[in-house]
Amino acid sequence: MKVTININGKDYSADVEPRMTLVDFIRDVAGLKGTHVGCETGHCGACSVLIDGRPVKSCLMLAVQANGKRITTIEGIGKDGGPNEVQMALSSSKALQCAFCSTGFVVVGTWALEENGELTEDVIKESFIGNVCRCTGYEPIIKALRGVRKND
Amino acid sequence: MLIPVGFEYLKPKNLAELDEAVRDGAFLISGGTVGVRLLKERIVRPKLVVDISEVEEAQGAKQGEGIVDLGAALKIYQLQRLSVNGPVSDMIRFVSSGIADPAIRTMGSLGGNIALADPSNELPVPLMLADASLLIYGQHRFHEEKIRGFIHGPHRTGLKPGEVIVRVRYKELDGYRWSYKKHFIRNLDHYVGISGAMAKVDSGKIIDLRLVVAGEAIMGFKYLAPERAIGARPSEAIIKEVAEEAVSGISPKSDRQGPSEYKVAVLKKLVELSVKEALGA
Repeated sequence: MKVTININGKDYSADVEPRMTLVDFIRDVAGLKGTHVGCETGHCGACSVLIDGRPVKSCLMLAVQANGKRITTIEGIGKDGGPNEVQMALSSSKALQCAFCSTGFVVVGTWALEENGELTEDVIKESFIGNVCRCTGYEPIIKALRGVRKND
Repeated sequence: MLIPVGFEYLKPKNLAELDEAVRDGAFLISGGTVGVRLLKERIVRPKLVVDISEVEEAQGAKQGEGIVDLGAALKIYQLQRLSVNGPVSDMIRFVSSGIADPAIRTMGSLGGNIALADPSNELPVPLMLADASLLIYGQHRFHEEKIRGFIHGPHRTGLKPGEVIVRVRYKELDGYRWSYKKHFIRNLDHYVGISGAMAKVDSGKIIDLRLVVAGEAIMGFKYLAPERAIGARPSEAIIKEVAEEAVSGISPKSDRQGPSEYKVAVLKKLVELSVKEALGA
């Protein structure tokens, strides 16, 4: 089945089987390996991407469902060619360890910042309820992101 | 790697196209948060998957003459921002805001949340309290069914193969107060218990009291309208009586979420809290 998905501003077209998931399309068709495959059942959030500006779990979506949609992956996130506020905060506070989950946290955090203007503790806890980190115990991530504001 | 068996995929734009698309053995998905997982785990192995998320008759929300009319394809995040007014709609906004996580709320739909009838699905609770009607389409015809009779048990509904929920309609319950409580062990786990209550109290007396309990403790959805409370003044005694009635006859299984007695105690407490809040006691 012919599918065209706009990822980070570029159209990717391919003839795929309907059973192909969106995360496999992103990684194997578009060749964008920053989106990770974790639990494959929608629990861990490692595969989070944005569709039309909102987070989805790309392991729970078929590529055919995303046909014609506009997707942002970790490779498409950033500001003026560099890291955005969320990336800066996580990086400068060294809030990451193995970093397997980090792309999902950055994608969801970027959406949360866009949505709320500021990452308060409540916003952080509510936004990341579907993102699992097995290294940090979350505290360093919350501490790093608490108070981050959107700079226009 | 979890990979579904091969299937054909169709995405009808309207009910006429749906009629042409659906055939024996078709598996319908809307958001896909549960359906795609069932496909990946090969619990279902259909030859055809029909994606009903863009059926035009199932889109949008409107309110007129006291009736709220919601498209079943509305995503849960859209329900968080419903621009309709009234206590039931307020409760739906509140409940939607707490469903799963932001990504699942982007994907999951109103119709899917009802049709799956998972005891931890939350939207049936306010809709059962409001005695909502479901407009169902299939076999070239529409019919309407009350949600209270539609859900037969865990994962069992009145939906026949090939039928879809198109719209959900309810009358606003002006003058009612509502409360919604739930309890879970871990984020994104099934809920141990859910209790939703709506009540109308006038001149210090209970005019109406409605309760829906759900979750693992009950493995389904149970609607109660405790008649003995009607005409009484809100009191601790009434609240405890209602809570006793809500948990009577239930015997949940003990599992990793806790022993049976614990689940009953949790549900009872949730009922007490929600009824007390709804009564303004």
